[in-house]
Amino acid sequence: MFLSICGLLLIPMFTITGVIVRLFHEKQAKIAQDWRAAGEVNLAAARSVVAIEDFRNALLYSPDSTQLQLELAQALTEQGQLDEAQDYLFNLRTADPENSLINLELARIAVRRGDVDSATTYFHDAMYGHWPNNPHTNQLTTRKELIEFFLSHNRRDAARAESLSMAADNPADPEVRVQAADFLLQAGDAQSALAEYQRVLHMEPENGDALAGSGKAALAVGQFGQAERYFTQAILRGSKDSSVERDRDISSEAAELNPYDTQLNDRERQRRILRMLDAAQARVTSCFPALLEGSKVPVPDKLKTLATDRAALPKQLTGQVFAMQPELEKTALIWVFEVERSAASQCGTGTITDAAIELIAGQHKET
Amino acid sequence: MSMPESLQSPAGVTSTAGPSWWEGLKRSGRELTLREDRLFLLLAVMIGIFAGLSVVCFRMAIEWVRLWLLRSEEAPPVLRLLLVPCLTGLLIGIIVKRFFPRVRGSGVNQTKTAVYVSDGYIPFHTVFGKFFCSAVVIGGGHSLGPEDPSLQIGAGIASIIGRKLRLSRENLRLIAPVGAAAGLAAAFNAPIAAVIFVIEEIVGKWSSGILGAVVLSAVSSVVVMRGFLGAEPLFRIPPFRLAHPAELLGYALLGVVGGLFSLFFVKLVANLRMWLRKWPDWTEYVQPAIAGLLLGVMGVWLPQVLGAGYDVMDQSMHGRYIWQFLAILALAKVVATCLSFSSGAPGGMFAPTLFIGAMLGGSIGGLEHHFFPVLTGSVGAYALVGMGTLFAGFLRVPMTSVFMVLEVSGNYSIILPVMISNTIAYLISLKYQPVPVFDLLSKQDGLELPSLEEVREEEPIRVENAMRPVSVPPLRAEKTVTQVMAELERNQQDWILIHEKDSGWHMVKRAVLLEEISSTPGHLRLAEVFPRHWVPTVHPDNSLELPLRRLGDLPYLPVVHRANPARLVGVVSREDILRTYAKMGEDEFDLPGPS
Repeated sequence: MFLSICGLLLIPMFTITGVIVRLFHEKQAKIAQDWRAAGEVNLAAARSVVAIEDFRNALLYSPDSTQLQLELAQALTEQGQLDEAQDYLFNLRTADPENSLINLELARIAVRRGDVDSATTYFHDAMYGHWPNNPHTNQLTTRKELIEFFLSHNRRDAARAESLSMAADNPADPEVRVQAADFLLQAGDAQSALAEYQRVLHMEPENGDALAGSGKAALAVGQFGQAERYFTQAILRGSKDSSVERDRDISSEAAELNPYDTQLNDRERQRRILRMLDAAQARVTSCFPALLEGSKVPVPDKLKTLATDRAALPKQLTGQVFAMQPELEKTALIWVFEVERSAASQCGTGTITDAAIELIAGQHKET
Repeated sequence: MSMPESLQSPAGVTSTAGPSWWEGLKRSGRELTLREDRLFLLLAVMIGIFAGLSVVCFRMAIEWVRLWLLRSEEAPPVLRLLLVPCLTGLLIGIIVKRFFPRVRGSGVNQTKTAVYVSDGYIPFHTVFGKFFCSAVVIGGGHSLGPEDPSLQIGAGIASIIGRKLRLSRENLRLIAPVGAAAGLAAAFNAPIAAVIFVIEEIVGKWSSGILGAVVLSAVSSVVVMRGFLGAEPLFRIPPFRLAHPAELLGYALLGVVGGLFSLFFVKLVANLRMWLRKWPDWTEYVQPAIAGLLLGVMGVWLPQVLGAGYDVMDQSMHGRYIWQFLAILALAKVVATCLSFSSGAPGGMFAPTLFIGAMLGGSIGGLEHHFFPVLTGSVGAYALVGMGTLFAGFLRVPMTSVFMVLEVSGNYSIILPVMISNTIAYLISLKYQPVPVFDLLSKQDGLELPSLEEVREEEPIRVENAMRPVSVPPLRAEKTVTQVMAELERNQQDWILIHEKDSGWHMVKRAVLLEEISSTPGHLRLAEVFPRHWVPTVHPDNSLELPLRRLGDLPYLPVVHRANPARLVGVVSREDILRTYAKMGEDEFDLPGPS
């Protein structure tokens, strides 16, 4: 009998307990929401210390909230408390290893730590994991972040591979393909970049960014004339890239100066070399006055090679001298390129002609 | 296990004449009612459900009180910190002193007292008082935990149900631990650890009857609790991996430090409690308030030490605090808990013990990580192991401590560090603090409760300690009468042991045997003629109690080999047993022996 009464008593007890628990959970949810809102405001205002406290308070009342833990981890990462942030994320990842948001945050922590291998793994897990919304856009954004990370750590091959994948995964999106080509160019693969820009131009012949990019890629592979044409078209199509005009001038100058053009006759080549010598001499005057003849300023050690090389050349170089001693062409070009490289590193950007010579020098590093 | 009479009473009802189907139904009902063991288990489930519901409400009450009094911040405002613990202490001091004197303390000893002193009797007002006072005290920020009160609340509910069912005295004693396990399991969300703790600390013996009921009640209470509050553990468990085998040395160091810290904790609690007991009686009204005020002052700088502290444990496992701060927290929590507990505020020691262990483990782990980063795993793993270490060293429940960590972490690869650290802490505590903390507290209260650790550690007295070697070989039933007569001439004992292959050992008086076989032809086998008086046997490793129970009127019992029951290894008589007990008593208490 008593057991039956106990059994009946359980019904109201379960009901009352259920009501109490439900009321408490509602209260908890309200408190957690309030603290979270405050935390988000503070995080957005870059007050990460206060945001951390807010998120911690919120977590007291909503300890299982993945989103809240993620936000706390973001705030902690921002504040540099990487260990704790990572612990939160590891815990979340154990429960949901394919969650892209969690993996992305872990990747960012690895980036902060300079741990390239872990960052790569987490970025990949994020890209190919589960995104709660806009998976394609988020995957693309993450890939861009990864490529930038690779580029910043001089992992050019990895950046190149990701850039090619980025282009291949978005065949119908010219904007993304231009971005992929930009990355390829930054990764040092100008040929692939040029090919990618050209594919975009095939889809949209008037795409200003693709034209400007093609010009840069053509410049990088030494096709100065083609580069000039691309830049000219880019300007006509209203490219927003402010450097395009200067690039066009440089490419135009490089095309006019390039002594390695196979279609030149001896006289024209010698003329170009003499122009380059004049430009180099002007650069020396403005940048390395110690090297000038009659200067009383002692020559610094690092410029002694330049001085020696110049001394090895005749004082007066003319077309006739080159005609009589053709081997001097190469010696003169070596000196010109050295002057431009040294000046660029010490005195910064020079004239358009200096930039054009630098470009030519970049194409002939063996010289 | 016997069954309460009330549960059997329907069977005793005298039936009156009636339709046959009615009689059949009643007979079936009687059969169902008489299945005692099943009904006892049903009762265990019922107790588990009630205990689970009560613990859920208890936890809710603590949370509401905390929210109401200390607000929702992790670090409450200073004014509240200074006022709330003090005022709740004052309120509870008055209520406890005036209305609920039995709710002082943790609840474990009170439950043991109920089992061993009051035949499992825990009055309803004690259950209510424990619920109310503990909720206010813990919610008000005192450094105490909800587990031990939950244990007492569970035991109290079981006791109330048992009394209402008019259970026998024996069953009332049994039912209280069943409720205790349910309460603890729901509070801890760890049914295995709760069952082992109750067996280890309250019941003290592993018997299948009590174990089944305890397990069922613990499981049902946890199911109820999880139904309302979810199945998540009390804290997020950090990943564990042993960075290097040498890291085990680090865990051994944690065991040493944990053992010493446990000693410090026990001594401080015991001494402070004794010192406060010497204060005039009226100060019991204000002692919790004074403790609360001191706690509030501590809380201004270290709000982490207030309350049970599960959220702080969680964060310590996930790298929130540096090791120096963790060490400070461990020390501060010892002081805070000693103040709260010794003042008589009702609340448990489990959560503070876990807290101190986590902080200590975290600080040791952090320190090792600082000096040996390659050899040390995560700080969180050390914190987790540290919890078990303090459990083993302070509460002196070695098995519970291991299972608690395993159950809470759900990671069996942590067992090696846990066992190393716990064992070292336990042994250090055992060596330098012979009396465990719960026994010490009950002694301070003037109670001589059975020390279950003593029972565990006790060296058993076995038959081999008392038995004598066989001076004369026993007779074999397959021998002929002539051979037996010859042997009997050499064997002048009054009682003759005979072994028969099929029926085992027999004992016959010499005179009777002689009378039986004297007129028998000599070629006959003894088996065909001797009067059979079967005797029970014992083995050398049996407890010495067993032959005492089996001897009856027999002069002695044969002690036989376990692998060959026909082989007699000795005999044991009542005199041998008494002589052995007397000798053991002399050795133990250094009593003067008989001149």
